Order: sequence, then structure tokens, then C-alpha cells
Amino acid sequence: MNQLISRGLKILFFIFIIIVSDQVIGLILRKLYFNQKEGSNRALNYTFKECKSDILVFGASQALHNYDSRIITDSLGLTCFDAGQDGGHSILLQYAQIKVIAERYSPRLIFLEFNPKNIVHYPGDYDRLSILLPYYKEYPELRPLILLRSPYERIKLFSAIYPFNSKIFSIIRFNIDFLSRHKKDFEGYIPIKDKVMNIGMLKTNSEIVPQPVVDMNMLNALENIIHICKKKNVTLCIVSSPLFHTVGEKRINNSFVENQALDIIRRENVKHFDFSYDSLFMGRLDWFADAGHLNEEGATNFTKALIRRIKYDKDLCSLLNVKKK
Amino acid sequence: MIFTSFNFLIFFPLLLIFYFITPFRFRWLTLLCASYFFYLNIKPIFALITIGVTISTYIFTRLIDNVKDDSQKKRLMVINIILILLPLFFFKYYSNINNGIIGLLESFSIRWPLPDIKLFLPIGISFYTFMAIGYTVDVYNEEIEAEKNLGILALFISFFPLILSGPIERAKNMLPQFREQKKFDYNVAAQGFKLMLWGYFLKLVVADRVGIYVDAIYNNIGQHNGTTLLFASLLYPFQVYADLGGYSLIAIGTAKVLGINVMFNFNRPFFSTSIAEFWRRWHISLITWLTDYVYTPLAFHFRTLRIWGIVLALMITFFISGIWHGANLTFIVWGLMQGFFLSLEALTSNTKTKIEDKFKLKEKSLYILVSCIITYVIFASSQILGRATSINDAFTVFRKIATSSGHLFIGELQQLVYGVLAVGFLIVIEFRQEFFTKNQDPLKFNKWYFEHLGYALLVILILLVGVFDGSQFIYFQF
Repeated sequence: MNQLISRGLKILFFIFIIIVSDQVIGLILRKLYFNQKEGSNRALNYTFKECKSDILVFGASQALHNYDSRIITDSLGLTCFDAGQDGGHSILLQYAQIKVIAERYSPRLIFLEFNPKNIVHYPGDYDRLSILLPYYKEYPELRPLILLRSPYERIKLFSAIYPFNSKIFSIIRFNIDFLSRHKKDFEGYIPIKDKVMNIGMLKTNSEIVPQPVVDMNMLNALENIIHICKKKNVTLCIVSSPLFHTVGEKRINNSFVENQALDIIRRENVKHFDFSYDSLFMGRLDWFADAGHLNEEGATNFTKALIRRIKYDKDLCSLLNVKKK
Repeated sequence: MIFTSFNFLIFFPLLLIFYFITPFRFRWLTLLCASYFFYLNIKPIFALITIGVTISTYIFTRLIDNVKDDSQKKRLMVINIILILLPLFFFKYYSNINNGIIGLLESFSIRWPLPDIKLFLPIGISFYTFMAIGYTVDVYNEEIEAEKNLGILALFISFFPLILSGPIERAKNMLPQFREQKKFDYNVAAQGFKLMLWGYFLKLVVADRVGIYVDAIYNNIGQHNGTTLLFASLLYPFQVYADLGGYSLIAIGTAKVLGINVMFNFNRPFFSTSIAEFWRRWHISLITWLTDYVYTPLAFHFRTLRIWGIVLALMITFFISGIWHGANLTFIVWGLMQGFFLSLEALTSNTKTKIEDKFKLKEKSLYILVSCIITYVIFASSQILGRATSINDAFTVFRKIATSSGHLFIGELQQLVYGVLAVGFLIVIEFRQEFFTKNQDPLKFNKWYFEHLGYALLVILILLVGVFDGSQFIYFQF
């Protein structure tokens, strides 16, 4: 009997240590997470909690590196914040961001960096929603999105450390000034400096690409973003950034997947600026960092080209009180 | 279902309850049902092959047991081995052989393509096929009697902790254990849970972290310089070790909690001072299987050739080991490389021993350290062939390492930091095991509360830096 009690106590001690450590470390990480001074987590916190800019840019890495917020602010006379996030995120993250922001205030214009091809289901897309885990408790509206990761997410979130899994390094780093890179970001925008694409980067990957499957959750996210913007009276512009193509390269016909997204955009009468095959960027290796991202010079030229398109658009100019060209 | 899925964390405790409340004589049945449930959860159709292998093995081993004539016994054994190997060859090698034949014919301007069938390799087929072959040979050699209970044989072949990636166990160790009437033993179960926890740490924190960096480099060989490729290639053996070693420990621990002892698959291989020692410590279940069923019969057959007979047996054994890993040229060359290094050691072992004895080198720490490093570097260089997707890619890696230098690619700094720290932690723990505690328990302390604190720390580290997002075990592809 004594042995049984002793073993029971040892097991309880083990469980107790784990629970206490988990809760204490989790609490410390939470404090430090929301106290970061730089980095992508800080940008996401800022977007959710503080940002009040007139113009917001949403999207994945292309949004973060292609849109120069300073040029947008100077050209349109409206404050701009680039809320793009590196890491290959799908439109689900942008939906989460817009959902939270729309509860707080209504920006005047949203640029949604979006390529209609990107509503294809890839394994791992939902995994990336782990970026939202620290916000699970605070923002109930994000829970359905987080639960797309797995139905067990609710159970896993009993752990206080779990939301900060894999984040400890950046949390420490961006809480300690001397370790920061002091990378100057311009209202969210992070230029890709000193990197020029070479043609060798265009080599195609020989791996087998599975038959694309439309991700209905992503399609719904696109529709919901449009509805939120309409409801909150926010002007939404969907923008497809330039992709590297050689001069004269023919556009490939829209796929079934692409058309699904384009149908929604057309049906909902949303502005869509498509630069993916824009002749201005064709063959300009010097403007690209790789086939999908512009370098600093390319971003400057792209942002200017985007502004030109906006200034030529009568509806947008009147909505934004900007002088039409 | 795989060990790192959340489903397993629900499945296993439920199984434990069912298992220990089941009367002794039906426990094998509980395990059999659980094993098939576990396997069916991956892809139900795969279970048909497992059933086919089981039935074939059952029928033929019973026949072998009942037949008196030696030549007839041998014929039955060979037929069963061929039947067992058929699905393995079909699923694993059909595409490669087909492409090889097409390539060969096309070089003579003949076009006669066989249909290109895209096949998913049934997970674990290489492992349970070897277990079934081993059992058949053991029955033929009269080392064990043929199992009369089809259910128990089915359990041996499909036992869920082992079916996906081994260890490749032997019937004579496993079959009696399925019949033993074992009560729940707290100490054994605790030991099992400890092994599982260390296995999870190896897989989620070490293998998957290192894997993020190594994959980023090896998926873009053309974009990286020699320095980066060298660094990734030196990290890769840790990834494989932590992946398969982690899987094996979870499997061994799971079986142990159920009261079943399974052989260890690794024994701190990176502390080996020679390639021969390395292969006694690395993937032990596969190597002992190959030693018993391939190398020893071959070495006996070639005994008249003396040392060259051993060389020949080594080359053939590791050629088969390469093919077992995959029918690609990379794996074949990888296997031949291992055979070559081992042969070289066999040929020079007398001289080496004399020098070591003369200068008492085996007692010198520096000699041991340098030997460990050389062994590691040799193995890591052969693993370039194991990791590269083609022989051309492997040669590109070798060429770039030799000719192109430059800055190390960091990528996402935190991934590299986590990976390197995890490897460092692993080395420290194994160093302590190897030279101090000499125990399979990685966190062995004299005081129970230190041990509990150590394992609690592992849980916290897994939560902090474990990779939870959809990674696979490397050896599922074999």
C-alpha cells in the first residue's frame, strides 16, 4: 500500500511540475510576446491592436516586400501601413486580420495582395495558422479559423506554452534591443535590398504537382473579406503583384481554380488590378529578387505603377478624395 | 495514425485500459485488433497486403514444419519468400525497374513502354516483409516451430509499434511474449514511458528542427554554395538518427508499457570509432537481420576465399541494404560505399590493431575523439547519396563542397538556432550515457525527483520548440 501511495505521489509530482512550468512559462511568454519591439509578431500585434492607418496592405510576403508604404502615403496623402506577413500564408490569415481590424475601425482603403491561383489547397496551409494561436483567447472571432488546423486545437490550447511553440527565439530576440537587427521597416513595408534575380532561379522544379483542388475555406474567406469591407464601407482593391516573366511571354489561360476566385471578384464588383503579366515588369531581372518578389527598386516602381492606376480610376479617386490624373 | 499524431495520444491510453482489463489469454486478440485499427487508420487498402503476407507465411511455415524431406522444405521456403517479396517488389521497385527498362530500350531506339502506374508504397511493407522472411527462414532452420495460431502470427507481422518503421523484430523473441501472462509492472511501464518521451523529443525537437534547415538546402542544391552544403550534409545524419532513432524509441517504449520487450535499434552510433563499430550501433535490427540471413550464409559460402570472401559478402550484403532502402542508383551506390568502407577496415584491421596496441591509442581520449569524428564524416559523406534525389544531385553536392566556398546560408535564423541547440543537447545527453551512466535511460539520476524534473523539462522543451505541423518519419518511405 505504501509503495502504491509513493508511486501515486511521484506521478502527481511529475504532472504538477509539468502543469506549473507550463502555466508559468506560458504566462511569461505571453507577456513578452505582446511586448516585442520589432519583427513579424510585433507587426501582427500592431495590426490587431493599435494600427489606425487610412490605407492598409494585406497579403503574404509579396504584400510585405512589394508595397512601399511611404510612396503610397506621399502620393495619396493618406497614412498607410503594410500589414503583410512573411511565411507563405494563405488568404485565411488576411481574412483573420481584416476580421479583427474591422471590429475596431474602418480604414478607407484596403489593398489585398491576392493571386487568384492561390486558392488551391496545399497541405500545410492550415498549419501556418499557428501564427494566430496567441490570439485565441482574446479574439473569439478567430477561433473558427484556428480550429481549421485540427479539431484537437482546443485541447492543445489548455497548454499555456503551446500558442508560443517555436516562437521563443524571436520573443527573446525582439524583447532585447541589443540582439535586434534594427532593420528599418517603413510603416510595415520591408524592402528586399541588394538582391537581384538571376535567370538560373527560373529553373522549374521537377517534382510532381498534384491535381489542384480548390480550397473552399479560402474561397469563402475571399467572399467574407469582400462582405466585411462592403459592410464597413471600406474600399477594397484586390491587387495581383508582378511575377517574373520573360519579354513577350504569353499569358497562360486561366485555370478552373483561378476562375472560381475571379468569378467572385467580378460578381461582387471589386476592383482588381492585375500586374502578374504587366509588360512594364517583363524581363526586368534587375527589379526582382526572385520570380515572385520584387526587390527595393522593383517595389518602388510597382508602387508607383499601382498609384498611377488608382489615380486613373474615377471611382477610387472620388472615394479617396484624390485628384484624378 | 502515426505516433506523432494527436489521435495516437488518445488511442494509446484507451488501448492500455482495454489491454490490462482483458483476460490474459485474450490479450493477443486485443493487440491484434488494435494493430489493425492502427494500420487501417493510415490507408485501409494497405492492410490487404499485410493480410496476404500473413496468410502466405502461415500456410507455408506450417507446411515446412510438417514436411520431412529437406529439399521440399527448401522449396516451400523459397516459394514463400518469393510470394512475400512480390508485393514489395511491385510497390517499391516497379516504377524504377520500368523506367530503367524504358531507358535501356530507348538507348537502342526501341520504344516499348510498359504502363506507368503511380503507386503509393504501403507504409511499413519493407519492415514487415523482412520480419515475415526472417520467421520463414527460422522455421526452415528449425530454430523455432511454426506458429499454430494464425492470430498470433498475424499479430507478430502487424504489431502496431513495429509495423511502420521497425525495429525489425524476430519471431523467437516476439511470439513467446504474446502468450506470456504478464501483469502490469509499474517500473517497466515507467521505463517505457521514459523511452517514449525521449523518442518524441528526438523526433519533434531534433529531427524535425534539423530537417527544416536540411530540406531548405537540399531542395535547392543549385542555389547554395559548398560551405552551406557541407554544413547541411554534416547535420543530416543527426536528422536521420533522431528521426528513426526517435521512432524506434517510441515503438520500444510503447511495447514496453504493454509488457513486451523489443530490441533496441540504436546505441549512440556517433560515438563509434570505426565504421564496423558504427554499423553495430546504427539501425541494429536491420543490420543484425542482414547479418543473420544474408551476410553469415554468404560468408560461409565464400569461406574458401578467406578475407576476400568476407569482402565479397560485405559488398553483397550492403548492396542488398542499399536496394532495401530504395531501387534508386543513389541508394545502391550508398550501400556499396558502406560495403567498401567496411571491407577496407576488414582488410586493414590487423595492422590497425597492432598500431593501436603498440601506442596504447585506445586509452587516449584524443585518438577516440578523432576516430569518432572521422567515422562521422565518412558516414555523413555517404549520407549525401541517401539524401540527394539523384546521383547527379549527389555529385553536384560533392563537387560544390570541394570547389565552392562562401558564406553559410542562415535562412530563418531561429530555425538554425533551434536545430543546432537541439543537436547540442542530444550530444551532451548521449555523451553522458556513453561515458558515465552507461544506461539506456537518457536522463538517469540517482534521485527520483531529478529524473522527474529532467523528463518534465523534456515535455516543456517539446512544447516550446517541437515541430507539430504535419511532418513525416523519414523511414516511412522505405
